[in-house]
Amino acid sequence: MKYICLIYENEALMTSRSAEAQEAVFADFRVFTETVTKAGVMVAGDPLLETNTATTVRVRDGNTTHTDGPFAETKEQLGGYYILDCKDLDEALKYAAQIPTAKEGSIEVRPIMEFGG
Amino acid sequence: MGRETHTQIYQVLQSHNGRILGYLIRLMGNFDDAEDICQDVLESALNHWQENGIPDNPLAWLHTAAKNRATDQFRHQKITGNAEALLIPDSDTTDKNELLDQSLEDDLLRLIFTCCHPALSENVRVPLTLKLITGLSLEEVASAFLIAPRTMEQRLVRAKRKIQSAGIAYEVPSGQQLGPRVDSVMQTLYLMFNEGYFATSGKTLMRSELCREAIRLATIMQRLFPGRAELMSLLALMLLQDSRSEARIRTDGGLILLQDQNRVLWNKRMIAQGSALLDKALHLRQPPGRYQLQASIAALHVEAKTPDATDWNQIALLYRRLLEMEYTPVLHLNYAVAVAMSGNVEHAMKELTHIEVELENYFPFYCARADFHQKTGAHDDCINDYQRALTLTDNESEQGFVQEQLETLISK
Repeated sequence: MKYICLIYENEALMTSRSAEAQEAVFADFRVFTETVTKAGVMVAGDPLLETNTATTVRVRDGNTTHTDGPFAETKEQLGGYYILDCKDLDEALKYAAQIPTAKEGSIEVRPIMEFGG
Repeated sequence: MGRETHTQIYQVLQSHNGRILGYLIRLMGNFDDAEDICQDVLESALNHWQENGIPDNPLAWLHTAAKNRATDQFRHQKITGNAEALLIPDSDTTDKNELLDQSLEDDLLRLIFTCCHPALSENVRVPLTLKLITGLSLEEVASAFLIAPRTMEQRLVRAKRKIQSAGIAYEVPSGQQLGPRVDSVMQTLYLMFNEGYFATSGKTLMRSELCREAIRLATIMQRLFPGRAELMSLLALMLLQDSRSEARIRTDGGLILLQDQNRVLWNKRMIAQGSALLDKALHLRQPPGRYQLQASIAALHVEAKTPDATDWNQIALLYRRLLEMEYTPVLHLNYAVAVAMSGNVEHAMKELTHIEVELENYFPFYCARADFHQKTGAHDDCINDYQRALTLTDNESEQGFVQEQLETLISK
């Protein structure tokens, strides 16, 4: 069953990191990616650029609006994701806890809807 | 073979409900079918057993009935389902009964762990466990939580949906997962027990039912997962607290304080069981957890022959350790009370200043402080605090208690 692990972190903390600290975080992520790839559960995963690069699109009554920034102001912001194919929720939770951001931020784990064939 | 009463049959059915439902969930692979079949089986048992008496092996009877209905349903729907689950290896009768017992025990465990999964919110784990494992009706579970049956039903439906759509496995956890999952079950059973023990309103019968069920499930867990000090301690805690249940409630429904209880009414067998279990837990020399500390406090209370003989010093020390483990203002209040009871009222008063703000609307805070004022002879302060307390509760027996204190004080 596929699960998406949405990675939330306080961006301000992120941007205040020194270059070395940031490089260390990337290294941790590379280790995680390797772990889940070797385990055969890795489907996809990407970091995202900061929320100030986001644009939110809404279409109401045929009118399209573009808003600068994320869909809502939140205390923690979406910074990346992994899609993992696991046998059950417990396996997904086990890997989610190993995502480096889990130590300071939040990882939301949600099943991806499957349609019968 | 006489005519068994409805109550006796009902009790037997309730005690096996979890195992049969657990088995059916594994067979059918979903809650709805399993619950429907389980309901059928129970109704059929009720009818048959009222006519013919309770069979020698009720569990085997129920299991066969469940298996037959499940097989019928599979044939009907032409799906194979979890067909191997229908097979129990052939062997002589005694072995077969043992294998059956073992297999159904595993199914019960699967169900307990699933209902107590940490991915389910706390407020749904307890009612879900009650509904599925103890076989209480929706109305009974709802009344235990003082909410409408319809609301409870929605909550349970959402929980079951989450279990299935989030892919919570219907398995007994193993390896590294087992520890945290056992913690989650313990927490759920602790909440269930407290719900029954501390409920200040709601039906009295339901309250003791909750305590009984919590103890029953904790006993099963303790038997199946031996060598865990916290699990033993949790069961010990429940036994030691529940031992006082006959002495806690007045005929008018009011609560009797620990120091005013008639100790003759305390259940000595439960106290002996609880104390022995706690002893065993302590001997394991595992790092003490919250249940071990709480059980130790409960043991100190019940072991005292009279209220004056209570070892308040030791109790205060234990509260201090609990606070270091997980700080809450209410726990801090309990600590202050223990300190005062051990004779150091000045120190206790000082402790209260730390929690004054958080507990400014908490009825027991003012009762405690009033009591401290009384100990130091601060008559007026005592009256003030009791009057403040009066404004903070709707509970009749609590109000009655405070009125009594005030009348005694004002007449002095």
